[in-house]
Amino acid sequence: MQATGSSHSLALRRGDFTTLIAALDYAAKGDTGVNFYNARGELYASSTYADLQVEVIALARRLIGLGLEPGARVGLVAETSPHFVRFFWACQYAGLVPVPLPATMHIGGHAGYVAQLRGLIENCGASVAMAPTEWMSFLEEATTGADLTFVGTPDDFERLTPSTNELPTVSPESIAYIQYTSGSTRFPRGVVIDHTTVLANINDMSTNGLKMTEQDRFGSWLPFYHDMGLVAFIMMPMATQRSVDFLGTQDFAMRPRKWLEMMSANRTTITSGPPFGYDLAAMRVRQSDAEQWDLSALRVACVGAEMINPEPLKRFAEALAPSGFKSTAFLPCYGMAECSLGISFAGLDEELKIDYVDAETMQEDSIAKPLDPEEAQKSKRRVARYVDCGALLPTFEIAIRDEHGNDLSERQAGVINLRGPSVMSHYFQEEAITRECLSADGWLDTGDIGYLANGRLFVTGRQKDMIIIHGRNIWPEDLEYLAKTQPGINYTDAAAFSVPSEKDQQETAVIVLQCRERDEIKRARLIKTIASLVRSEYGIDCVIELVPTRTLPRTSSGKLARARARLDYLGRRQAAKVQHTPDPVGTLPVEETMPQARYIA
Amino acid sequence: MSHETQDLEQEILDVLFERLSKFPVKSGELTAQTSLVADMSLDSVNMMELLMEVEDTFDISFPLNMMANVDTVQNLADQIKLLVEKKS
Repeated sequence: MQATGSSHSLALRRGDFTTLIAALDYAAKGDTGVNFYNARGELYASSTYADLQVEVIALARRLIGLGLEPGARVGLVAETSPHFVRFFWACQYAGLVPVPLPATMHIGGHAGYVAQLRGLIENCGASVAMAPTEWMSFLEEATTGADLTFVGTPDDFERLTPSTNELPTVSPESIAYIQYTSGSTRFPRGVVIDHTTVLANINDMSTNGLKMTEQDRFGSWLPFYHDMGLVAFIMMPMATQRSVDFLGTQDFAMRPRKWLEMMSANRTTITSGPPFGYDLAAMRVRQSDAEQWDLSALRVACVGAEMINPEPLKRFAEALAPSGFKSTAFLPCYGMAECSLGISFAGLDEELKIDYVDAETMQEDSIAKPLDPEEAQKSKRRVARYVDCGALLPTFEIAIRDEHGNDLSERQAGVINLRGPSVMSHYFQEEAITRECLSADGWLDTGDIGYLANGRLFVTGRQKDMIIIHGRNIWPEDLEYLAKTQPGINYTDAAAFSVPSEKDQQETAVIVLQCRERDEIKRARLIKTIASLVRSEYGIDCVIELVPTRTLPRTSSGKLARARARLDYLGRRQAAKVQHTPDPVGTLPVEETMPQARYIA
Repeated sequence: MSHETQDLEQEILDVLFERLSKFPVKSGELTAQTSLVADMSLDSVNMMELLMEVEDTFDISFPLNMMANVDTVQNLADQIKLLVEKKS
């Protein structure tokens, strides 16, 4: 087997199609395609867009044979495999709406995963659901008692009778897919994106953000149920007629070197990932590997999905320097599923740019006042640093607004509001929530906080309380809910948020819990129970702090003031540290600790 | 239980104990009955590292979905044993 080639005679078109179907019809005229690598780094599946199109149309006919309404939802357990790609495109040709569902499992996570699948399938009102064989038992459990037309493995779908009718005509305004922004069981938000919307974003990203050429080739380990994996690596390569190579997310997590090996072998030019992905890879790379690889072709290594910390990127660039990797390949970007994907990109071939500002002015007046770090050291001022996320893509309009909706000026931090052709139409069947963040004249309130300086965007935090760990979005309410399932814990007793850890400044989840229990053994057991619930449902470690009743701050209307609770917690942590270390003043980290923003979340 | 399968099981447990010894156990000692979920603080990155070492040691491929019903060290050893036996 051989991977599909990188170049062909088909003229490059950068996503300027009316529908995804027209885009695949065009890509099928060339020789490029999709390739899948296994845990050993061996190519195990490869097909050109031409071959893929034939398979996809055959599958589309089987889906049409089920006699569903146009626009019916098809839930797809999105394991990294050729099946997902076939089903995703077959749904397009059949006029159905694919909904990627997570394929992720934490230790002891059976019940949590099934509940998550059930929640998403119910929320999108799926008529059909598919899971690869290894995931089928969970999907079966999740759909028991639910009224679906068909649930099966790819083989089960092969046995369906194909329709002999003509393929339906799909309009540019019809829904292309629904993307869930977090795997939340209790607060799913399905972003609805139509063909015109996603293609506008792909056109803008490929033309202006990445300035794509006929030599480009994509490589990725990102999960297909994540917007970056789905839009940037399934749809964008196809809509720009480029080849793409995939490594499974689990395989990457276990053996990150396989990702680099794959990109070296294929002379990949474009990849992407959250900072922690680069960090994981850097930790495992040996000097001898880096010397063997050739990453000199890699011109774009997008960095997004979580707050960008420059240190892991520096480590990656140093470790991979012998392979010809250039640190100027790092491309910080900002985006979110609600805008299809990309919003701003830093300049190509530029070093990472960092803005150093006065942390106190930022915290108190929300003004990003430049402050030289050396100067700050002398004057004992604290410095906050933010990575330059680049200029907005040209199709976006931006407004930075204060809490009353007034427009702010240069270097004033406020809520990032965006308008443009890549913005979603709504959250699926969530009218009230849609109205809260999307105005009648098309402005999206992102809930992220940032400022503009010289036409560049800097994202500094989040107004909403989303917890982002390793690029995954977790609602604090979900963690609080788990805590509240314990006996003796009342509805108002828990607050969840994330803080940078003391050890390595990585974001860590914290639950502060008001607790009346005095028995030390019972208190320890409560902490252990909740921590294991969190671990089995989300696969993350969580700090649990028990505090006396009436410790958690509330707003005047009695709502939990989570941001305040977080600052209180940091205060207690700092106080404890001061108690234990004689002279902490000189060792305080320079950077300010701000809540997470989502970067291509 | 034959000697052979007993040996295999012990071998797997020994490997797991060795790999897990770097993580603190919240209460008591590390035993086969220690809960990986409740008694130890392994995040998903640590878990992936452990699985990679297991895969390399026993030359198996451990599918993620098999984690679903694993709680204790013994549970994990049982799953690994299944995979090793299936291979031969």
